[in-house]
Parts: sequence; C-alpha cells; structure tokens
Amino acid sequence: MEEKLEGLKKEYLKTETPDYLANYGWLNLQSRLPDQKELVHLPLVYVRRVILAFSILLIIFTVPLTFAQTSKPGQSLYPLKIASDRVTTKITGDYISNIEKRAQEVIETSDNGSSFDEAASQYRKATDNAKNKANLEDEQKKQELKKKLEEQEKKFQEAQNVNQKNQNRLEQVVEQTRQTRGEVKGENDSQKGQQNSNGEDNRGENNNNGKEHSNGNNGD
Amino acid sequence: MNDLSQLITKAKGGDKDAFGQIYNLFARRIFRYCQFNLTGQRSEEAQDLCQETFLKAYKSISSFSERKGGSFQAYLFRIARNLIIDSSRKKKDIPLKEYLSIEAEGDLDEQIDKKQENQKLKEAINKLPEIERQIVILRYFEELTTAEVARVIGKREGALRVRSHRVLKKLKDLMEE
Repeated sequence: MEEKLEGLKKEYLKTETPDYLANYGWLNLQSRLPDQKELVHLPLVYVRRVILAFSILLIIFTVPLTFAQTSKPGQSLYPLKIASDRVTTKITGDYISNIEKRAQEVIETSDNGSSFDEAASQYRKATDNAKNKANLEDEQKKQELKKKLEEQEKKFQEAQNVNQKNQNRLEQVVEQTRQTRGEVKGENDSQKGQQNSNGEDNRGENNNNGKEHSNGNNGD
Repeated sequence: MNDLSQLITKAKGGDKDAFGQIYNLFARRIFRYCQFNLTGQRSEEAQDLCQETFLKAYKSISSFSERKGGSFQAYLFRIARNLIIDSSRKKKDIPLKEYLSIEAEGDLDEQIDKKQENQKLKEAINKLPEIERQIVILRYFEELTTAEVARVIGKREGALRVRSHRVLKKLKDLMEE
C-alpha cells in the first residue's frame, strides 16, 4: 500500500503551479494585505483565559446566589440573600419591594423564635433604609412608603389574628412599622412642627395613634 | 532563531516583504494541497483558496506562537484545510473528473497502468472521511510530522497515530473493492 502511495505522491509533488500564481500571486496578495496597525492584536490565548476566568467567576457567584434566593432567615445562605437584595435595591432604588420581601419573611418565621429575630431585624433595617431614602425625596415617594407601611401593618395584624400564639412577637413588628411610618416626613410636617412647638414631635403623635389602634385590635 | 522564525517575527511587526518571502516558501505547497483536495474543480478555485489562506495567515499572524511548539506550516495547512471545508460545503456533489495530466515519459503502457493505478488510489482517498483524507495527504504527501498533522486536524497525537495505521488498511480494502 505504501508503495502505491509513493507512486501517487510523485504525481502529487508534480502538481504544477499555474503561471499566474507563480508570477503574480504575491503581487496580487500584497495589494490586499492590510497594514498591521489596522489589525487588533489580541492574542487568542489571553482572550481564552479572560473568558475562562469570567465564566468561573460567574459560576462561583451565580450558583450560591441562586440557591440563596430560596433561603429563609436563620439559614446559612440567608446573609447572601440579604446582601444580594441590598445591592439590587441600591441599583434599582426599589426600597418598597425590599420591605415586602422582609415583611413576608417576618410573617413566615413568626413560629420560630431565633429565625423570627433575624427576620425582624432585617425588616427593621429595610424599613429604616426606605425611610431615610424617602425623606430625601419628593412627597409622592414619601406617601408611597407611608401607604406601603400601612399595608404591612395590616398584614401583620391579620397574621396576628390567624395565629394567636405569635401575637406578642408580631406586635413588636407592628409597633416598629407604625413608628417608622411616623418618622417619614410629610408635607404637613412643617405646619405640625410649628403647632408642636412644645417639643412633641410627629413620631410621638403617631405612636399614640398607633397604640390606640393596637389596643382596639387587641380588644377584638 | 532560524530564517523562517526571523521572517515570522518581521511579518508580525508588519513587514510585508518578509511575509512575501514566507509566501514564496509555501505558496506552491499550499496550492497543490488545495488543488488535490478540490478534485473536480477548476484550478482557479485552488488558486483563490491559496491566496485566501495567506491573507488569513497574515491577518492572524500575531496569534501564531512558535514558543508553544507551533509549526508555521501546520498553521498554514490548518487555515487552508478550513477554507477547503468551507468551500466544499458550498459546492457539494461535484463529480470527479480526470485529474492526471502528466506528460508521457518512457514506456506508454507502463505509464497508462501507473496512471490507472494512481487514479484508483486517488478515488479511494476521496472515499475516505475528510480527516483520514487529510492524514494521507499531509502525512504521506506533504511529509508533515504526526504532531503537525494533529495540529492541522485538531486531534491528539496519540489518537492520530492509531488512526494513521487504520487509514492504510482502509485504503487497501477500498482499492480491492
């Protein structure tokens, strides 16, 4: 077989280069060659390395983040979920959705003491952040936040009614929600501030109202 | 650093004359490789692919590295092979035609026998899968090393060695059919 291949090889090597290619091939090609300056020199090896490193980083960060999204307060990946939500909130500016998420966790963990404490703590942070942010913005944002806190307060109270055992725990959160709502500055605050020149602030006013409301609820 | 390495370094720096010397060293080989692979097509087709191979080689010459065991001829044949594959995809089912056009030398009967045998072998090679065809052309006709052929076709050297032995047996069977 190798002998036969040798025969064909001789034929192969005798392949004649056409005259045009032999005489003008280079001239033709030279005119088509771009200047090296026009070419972007990015060695393939580096491009591959960058892509590989980027892919690894992507996997390292996205896999735990995906799992973290389903974690509950007290679980090991929960702090990661909080951190990721914090970043998302900073980027999107949607503090209200964050409050909803944390409030839902508070209700879901109200049966479990240690998890509840963590959830309540995160809820407090979320509402404080939203309040600080809203106080720097226009009236519409402040009203939105007040409305949302009011809704949450109702949800907590509904949860209290469903499960009487968790009443005390949720009462703390209701109280804190009410207090935060009172601390969101409204357009009438300046007038109220003038009226309350004796030093009593809106927070106190709202707290009193809240207590009345809360008491009424307990009475039910 | 040998002459070719120096020319490559200069060409990487944008020296077109250096690349011209590289072209003169390899153009004939690349042309005949294209011509053999494009049996049944006009010679102009092979010429175009040959020119295109060098144009691509120049444009991406910065990605070629001898330090990592790169062989420039393997680099060129790899580009040529890819262009041939692309071209073949566009032009499928081209019938084989008489390709041998050697001048008659010596005994005419002997020449005709040889011509027929070569034609038969050529047809057998054309029946092989593309990778095995490249092994025959590059390893036996162009005398590239196993490592270089492996680079051109993108296979491991060990796997290529095993396949090389099989190819010869396969060719023999095809010839006997």
